[in-house]
Amino acid sequence: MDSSQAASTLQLIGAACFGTLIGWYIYFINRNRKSDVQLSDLVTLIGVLGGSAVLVLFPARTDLFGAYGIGLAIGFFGYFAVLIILVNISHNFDVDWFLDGRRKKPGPEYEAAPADRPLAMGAEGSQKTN
Amino acid sequence: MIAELGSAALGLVWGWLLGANWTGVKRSLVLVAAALANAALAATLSGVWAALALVAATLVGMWLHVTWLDELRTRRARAEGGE
Repeated sequence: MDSSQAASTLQLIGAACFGTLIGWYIYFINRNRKSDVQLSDLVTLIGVLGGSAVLVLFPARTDLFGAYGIGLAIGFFGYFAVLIILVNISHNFDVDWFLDGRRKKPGPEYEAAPADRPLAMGAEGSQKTN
Repeated sequence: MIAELGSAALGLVWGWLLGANWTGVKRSLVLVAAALANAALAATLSGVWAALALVAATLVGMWLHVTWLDELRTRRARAEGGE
């Protein structure tokens, strides 16, 4: 595509949807990383956020990069908003969970998932702010 | 307009990430450098105003994150003090 050419609506929607997926995933990575911030975690975030793929995908002087940024923020803060809603409606969590990961201990009839299982933080929970 | 708006949105995400990972000099420097590289990318793809919007929104995003945590800590202190 010529750099002076305007992006079509479909391209803008596509870039925004791509950004939304990336934004959602970035919050996920940031939330589920190990308790200590590893440089590898940061490199992953940086590569996903503004890596060379962005340069290749979005030609200069089009609105595609802008649509990507808008979608990215929607995905990122959308994850955060869903998290707030889920914490609010859950009886096992309150807002303190955002500070240090505290939550109610599971009752005797429940068992916490092991910490190394994907999508589960284990009984100890995340040590970082969520 | 979309370019500046998108860059500002991207800056908010960077600011939030910076606030959430501000745990050491080395790591903070890596993240700040990456955010600046992203600003340069925005300047290349969308112009100087987009880069400026990204930098300004990054600062706002950091402030939002710090304010959010402060609010949570205040609420916790109030709740624990009231018990």
